[in-house]
Amino acid sequence: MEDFEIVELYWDRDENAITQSDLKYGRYCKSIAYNILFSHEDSEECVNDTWVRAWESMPPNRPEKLGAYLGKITRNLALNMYEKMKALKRGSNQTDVCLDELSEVLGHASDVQQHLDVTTLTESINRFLRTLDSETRKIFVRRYWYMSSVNEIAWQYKITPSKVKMSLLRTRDKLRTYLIKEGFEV
Amino acid sequence: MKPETLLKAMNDIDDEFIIEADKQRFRLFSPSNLKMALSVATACLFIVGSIMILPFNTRKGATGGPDTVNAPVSSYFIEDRVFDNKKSVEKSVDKDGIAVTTVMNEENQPEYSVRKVDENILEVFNLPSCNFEISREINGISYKIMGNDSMAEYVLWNRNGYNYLLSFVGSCDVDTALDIAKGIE
Repeated sequence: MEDFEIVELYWDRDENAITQSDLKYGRYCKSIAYNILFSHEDSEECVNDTWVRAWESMPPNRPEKLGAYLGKITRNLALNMYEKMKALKRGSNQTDVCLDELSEVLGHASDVQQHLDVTTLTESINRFLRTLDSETRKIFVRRYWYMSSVNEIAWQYKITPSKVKMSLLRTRDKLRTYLIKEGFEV
Repeated sequence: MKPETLLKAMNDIDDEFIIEADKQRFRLFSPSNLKMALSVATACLFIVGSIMILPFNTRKGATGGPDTVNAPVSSYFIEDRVFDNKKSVEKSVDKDGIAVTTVMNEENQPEYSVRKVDENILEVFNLPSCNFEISREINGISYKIMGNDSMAEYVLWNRNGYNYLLSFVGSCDVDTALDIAKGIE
């Protein structure tokens, strides 16, 4: 079923929308949640919550790219769940590793200002991503949006893990410079 | 700025970047591509089956066939030479619709299975977390070995446009796993 047809089901309040979403994007959403949470059970819960959020948000929303829309909901839910669980069980999943990598360039300064400016920060990140070449951008997004491991990225794009690491290192440095230039405190 | 803030802010990056970084996965769900993939797969099965089933059966009729293989593997991706000293092979389709060949040991217990997927049609395999992961380059092919406590449980590689996943029922040492992987066509 095409994306717009599934969105139409949501707008018609037809519960088949959830079945179709699950069929088409269930595994995709679960893989996003799993990369963040590293738990099949929690990932499943996140995906189920995704359908609820999707049901609540359509209408009024009418996303053109349903996969990305559902993926964003899942990622957001998974990150929230991760934060709740972090105090209880900090493991060695990709989210922890990603946070450690980013803290190398961002530090742990108070983010009171950033709480107010998350939308602005997102816009800056979008502008920054546009400055990158396609390969570098894909590697960066796979790492920090999908939370894929370095080896998974190397496997997917058929490059060596060391090349992935080097690309990420350079991009993180560029991002830091870019954010400072944009007026953020890093 | 806390790294958590950056990760959260990244959630709402433009859809185009999310899709760009995951094109293979999105292609999987495109109905038009899925239809094309199914048509191609059907045609391939028909052609390969026509070419291989008859010669295999004829060969088996003439020679008694390889004693170690109970099921014809003509439409499968592992050549019968792989099954030397094995009791039998079983073929099935997993929940995701991927053809799976399972190789049984002398006691007729599953020993390992192999999935082979066109890299342009299906996504890469999602595996459970492992505490052991190494890569080996052999004859220009990069094999990724994953498992626990230095024992191999999975081997992944890409060859000639296909992604392969070799899964062991238990685990085995890295060299044995690589030997098996290298023998799979």
